[in-house]
Amino acid sequence: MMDRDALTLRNPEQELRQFTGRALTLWVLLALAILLLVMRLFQLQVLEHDRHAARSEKNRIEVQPIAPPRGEIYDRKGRLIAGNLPVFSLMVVKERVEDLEATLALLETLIGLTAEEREAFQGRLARRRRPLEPVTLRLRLDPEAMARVAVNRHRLPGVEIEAGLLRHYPEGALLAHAVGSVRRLSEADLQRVDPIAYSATRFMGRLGVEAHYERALHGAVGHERVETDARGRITRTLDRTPPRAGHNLTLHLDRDLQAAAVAALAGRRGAVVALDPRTGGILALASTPSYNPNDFIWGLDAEGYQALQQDRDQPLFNRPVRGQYAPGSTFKPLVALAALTEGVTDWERSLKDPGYYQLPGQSRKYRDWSWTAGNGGGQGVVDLRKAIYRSSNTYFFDLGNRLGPEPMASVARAFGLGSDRSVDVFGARPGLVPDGGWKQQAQGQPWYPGDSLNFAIGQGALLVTPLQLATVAATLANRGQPVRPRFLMASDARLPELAPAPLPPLDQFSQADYAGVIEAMEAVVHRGNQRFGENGTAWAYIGQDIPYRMAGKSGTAQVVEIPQGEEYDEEALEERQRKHAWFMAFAPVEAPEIAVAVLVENGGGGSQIAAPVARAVVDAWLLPKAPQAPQVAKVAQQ
Amino acid sequence: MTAPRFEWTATALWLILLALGALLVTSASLEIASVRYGGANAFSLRHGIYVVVSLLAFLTVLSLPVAHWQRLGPLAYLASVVMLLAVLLVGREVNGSLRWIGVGPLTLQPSELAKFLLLIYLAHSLTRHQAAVRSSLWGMVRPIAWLLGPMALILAEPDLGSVVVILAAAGGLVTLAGARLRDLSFILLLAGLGGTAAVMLQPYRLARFQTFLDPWQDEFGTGYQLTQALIAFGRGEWWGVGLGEGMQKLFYLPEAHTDFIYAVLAEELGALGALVVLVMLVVLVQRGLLHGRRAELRGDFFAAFLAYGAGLLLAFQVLVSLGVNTGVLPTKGLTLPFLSYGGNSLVVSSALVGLIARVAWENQGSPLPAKASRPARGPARKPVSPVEVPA
Repeated sequence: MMDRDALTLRNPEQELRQFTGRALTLWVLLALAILLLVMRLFQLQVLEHDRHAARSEKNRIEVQPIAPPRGEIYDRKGRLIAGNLPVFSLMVVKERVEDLEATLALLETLIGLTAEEREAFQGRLARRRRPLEPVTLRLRLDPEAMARVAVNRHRLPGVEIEAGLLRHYPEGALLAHAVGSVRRLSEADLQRVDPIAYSATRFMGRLGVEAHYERALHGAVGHERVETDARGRITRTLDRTPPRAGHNLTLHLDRDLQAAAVAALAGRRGAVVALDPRTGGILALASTPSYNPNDFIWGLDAEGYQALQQDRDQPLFNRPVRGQYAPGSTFKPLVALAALTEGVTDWERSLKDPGYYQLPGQSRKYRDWSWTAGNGGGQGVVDLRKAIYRSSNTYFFDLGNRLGPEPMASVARAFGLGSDRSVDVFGARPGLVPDGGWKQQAQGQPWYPGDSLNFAIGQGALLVTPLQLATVAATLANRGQPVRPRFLMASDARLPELAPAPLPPLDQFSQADYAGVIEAMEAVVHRGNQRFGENGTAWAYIGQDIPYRMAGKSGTAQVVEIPQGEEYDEEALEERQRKHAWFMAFAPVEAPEIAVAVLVENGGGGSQIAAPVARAVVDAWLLPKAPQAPQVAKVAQQ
Repeated sequence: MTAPRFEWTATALWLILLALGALLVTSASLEIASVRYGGANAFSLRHGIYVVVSLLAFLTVLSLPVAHWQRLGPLAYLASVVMLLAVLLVGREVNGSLRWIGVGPLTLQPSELAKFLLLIYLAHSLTRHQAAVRSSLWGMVRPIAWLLGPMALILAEPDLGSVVVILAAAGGLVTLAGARLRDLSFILLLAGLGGTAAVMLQPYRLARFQTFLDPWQDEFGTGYQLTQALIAFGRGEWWGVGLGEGMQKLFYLPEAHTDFIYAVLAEELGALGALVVLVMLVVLVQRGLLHGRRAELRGDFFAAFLAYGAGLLLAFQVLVSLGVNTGVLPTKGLTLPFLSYGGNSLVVSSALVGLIARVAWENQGSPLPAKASRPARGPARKPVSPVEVPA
């Protein structure tokens, strides 16, 4: 072959030169690479020494966040209703654990982990965390378990006992729906909150006052710079910026009044809201059945949570704030105000009540509650005052028909229905005030005269929450000065909620009309010892021995529609389909100190069922103070 | 002709580096060993075993005539392929790479052993087809093309660092074997494209590459290891913080006792210590290249390629490893010869020094078995007297 021949013919010396050249080139390349390395060494080790030394310092020094103690919450008399309990928790820093399974197995033998604890721990571990963030394995270690872990600490790298404060609600279920509660920060929460402010925080307010005042209660995170050894153990604290504790809150709530409200509900499903009509301060806000918020903090297993969620009585449902119900006859005083103002009626006008109402040209009978299939019922000659204290549907059907929807919707909105006017009630629902436009939009149908009749007796589409109805009672108590319900009474923080902008008085309604409506509502409670069918609806149940003047109005809200021609038979109806019992009241009438709304779900008649609850609450508020009042003492001396 | 003189320079440097390595590994692994195995000496004991194995490997290679290896060329190739396949099938995964096979208390790392075996094969192949290598593109490509199979297997582990080192050494060998320049540039272009593709196709490599461009950008993520290594260098300054006094090896710098041993060394012994070690390594490499040159001049091409190859393998391994440590090359797991913990690398590097010493020995006039010294094909070449060697 040519090549091979050429090769063999080559001059060995020329070949030698070629090889020498190649070897030299290779050498030069290698030398250049080595030179590059040497320069790099010089750059790193000599020129940049200071910078790297500083970085190395930073390496050793760790900044650790310190959780601020959460602000405490007190009731109006300074009794603790949400505080912090010191606990020792078992934490695991996964990055420092060499063999997680072995560590868990060892802990198992030491303190006996439950399956739920393991499962919850694995769940928390799977979530996104800061690097080196401790993960809770057991929230509260008893002293023995603590000792066992501490003694075996050398065998448990990455396992730490952390002293901390845990939210605690000494009243448990009593105030759960009012004060709300904190829950463990979830992954979704971490996306929302400032990650630095919450870097040491494990719980945040999720419901109620705890949620609304989260910013004030949380406080400011502190931090300390610590020197750590190679395994991350702290050897020295260099400096420390202490956390700023969260602000304390004092609420208008009265623990005793709340207890009285819950006791009065006597295990039935229902709600009680008591307001101070002068301030709008929420004195009691009860929802039964309730739950123990501490369970959520100590760790509720999936089963327990499911049981709460699927409970038919809905203990997690905040009825006074989020429950929206037809107000029934409690709405009538407002319709009366609207009708008086619109000139549709006056205090003198009366009509004969046959027990039902018929729209002109229609055969359908809109029944009064007194109507019975046998004798027809009816309440005789009814004027506006009697229409209120006897709760005449017939009279109000007539008013509704002649008013039409707009004036009724307007008075409802003026009294705060259909919107949330609360200052700091977390998650309060707005309810619903229907009108022609709403019906067209929501149901695609025009407003029928029958809708006005329903509206006038607080049925149909109108929905209110117990909190809103209590606000209505407070506004009536104030003779038209509306209030905004709020929990907060005082705080060491200057919170805007302490001085909410006042609402303008509802002076579109005359003081004479307020006085008339209130007088009629007084009759609901106090008008008694009359012949049959002439007593106030609630007198028999609460009015016979009442030591103060109370104005009230009952309501019985229909849950299912009763077909034409049939009687409402309480016994036959499934318990859940019975009417809701309402009562709203305020007292003393001359100078109201408390306004109350009571709802008993499927309770039946408002006067019979709800009014005694309202009376018990007002009693609890007004009566214990009576012996201590100085003027009473003076009277006794005279 | 004088009596054969033993290659003391390379051997002495090798022994010094080995001793220094044992010292550094012991101190760098104290912390991690006690954390991981509950005994501070877990790594240093194993390292000691490998040092003993390395001494044996050195002596074995030293005592075997070079001609012996030449006969084993194809067998060496076969053995490397079998081992590389085996590791993919029965290997043990560490840090996401499948590089190790457990053998009793020790582990085999086929990609390391392949460096030695493939060198035997390549030297065999280049000697045999020397004329073709010099005269045609195909002749030059063919020996390297055979390497692609094992390279693919190593990439599958994955161990890109070893592939780079082996291919670079192979390229160097082919150059020294006299390949034409235009053929060489063609190969270089292909290698460049291949390298780019390898970086682009594997997301983790791309991430490492970006980290390499700016390690501080993601200091606690992908750039963590490198930034901690750079901090180690920076702390060292001129004189170092003192042997055993380094801090970065305590937990901060992962793999301090293996891939980043040079960073620990630089921290503890300073720029001067790092430089001295670098010079020792360079001189060792230079001895390999020198003895290769001498073997070539006397016409024993197989021996020449072995010595050249040993030198080049060590050179590239050192360059890549130090490049990674100092942040001039993207991070990849590669040990520093003699100094790192990582038994197989230690044994193979020692065997390579053994080859150099053996070639040096034979260069000094130990009788050559006539048959083996000659290329199997192609013309016999006139031996050139060592006197002509330009020192």
